[in-house]
Amino acid sequence: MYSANTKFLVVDDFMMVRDMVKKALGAKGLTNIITAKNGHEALTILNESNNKNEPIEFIISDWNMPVMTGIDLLKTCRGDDKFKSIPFLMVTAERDQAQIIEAAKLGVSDYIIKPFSSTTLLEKIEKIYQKKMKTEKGN
Amino acid sequence: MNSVKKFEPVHPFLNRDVILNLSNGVVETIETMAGVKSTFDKPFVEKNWKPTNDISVFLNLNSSLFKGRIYFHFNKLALVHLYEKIMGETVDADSVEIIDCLGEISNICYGFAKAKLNDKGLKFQMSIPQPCKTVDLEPIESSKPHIIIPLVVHNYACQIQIVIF
Repeated sequence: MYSANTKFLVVDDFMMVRDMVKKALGAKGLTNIITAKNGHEALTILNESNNKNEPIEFIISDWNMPVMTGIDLLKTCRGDDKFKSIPFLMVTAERDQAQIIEAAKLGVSDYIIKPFSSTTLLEKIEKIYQKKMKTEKGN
Repeated sequence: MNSVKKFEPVHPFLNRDVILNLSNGVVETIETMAGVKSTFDKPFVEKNWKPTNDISVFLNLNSSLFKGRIYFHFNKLALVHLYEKIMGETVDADSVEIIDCLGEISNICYGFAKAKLNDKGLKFQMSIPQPCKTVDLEPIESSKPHIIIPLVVHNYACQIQIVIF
């Protein structure tokens, strides 16, 4: 599992979801969490954290948000050398198959459909972590 | 399972399927998120219906086939109960958390219904929920009748309203 210091960025326009994710992570001792209300705010945080040498290590983002959507945030991250390898978990109410495929093509690490339980969230995070470890060992 | 009985559609695409999927979306979302059972009643059509509840949210219904809007009108005490069940902490009935809670519930309900309806060719697009106090809602400008689906959540009367432009 990730260490307690792993820096998470949680992006959702609804406070309740941001709080739910923070609670679920906190229960596992993961408390280094920054939140943003949309993709634009998230990008600002990503850049600022990088400039301070305290990079974001995991992004959990909603899809459907005002100002800048989660899919646009994903596209931007995957197109930027600084952020392209950050694990990106999409947590969204969008369950259309075509949209899930679109996110997969753009390089999302995994996808959770709302409503979700904290167990599902933590399992997905663990799965992404295991995959990342495997890839890093392979390199 | 609830059922929608005789219902005369006011629009060719607002048929029993749409009403059932939206209603079931609300019931299933509330049960999954909060473990709270809710029931819906027979929908009715009214030309100048005005909501009198506490908190409302609307999502624009944009489809290549028609444009409209779906509103969720909830009693604030029903939302307090749902919030406390979901988050496991108490909340004030006049807090911003309650408005936010209805926004997220409507987001999930819409996502649920949209996927099912798009499978049937309705082509609904994504929509961002806009929650507020019911008294702050802008008047609805549509000459077409509104469809109202009464809903009971934790013994409090709530409503889904569908408007076609």
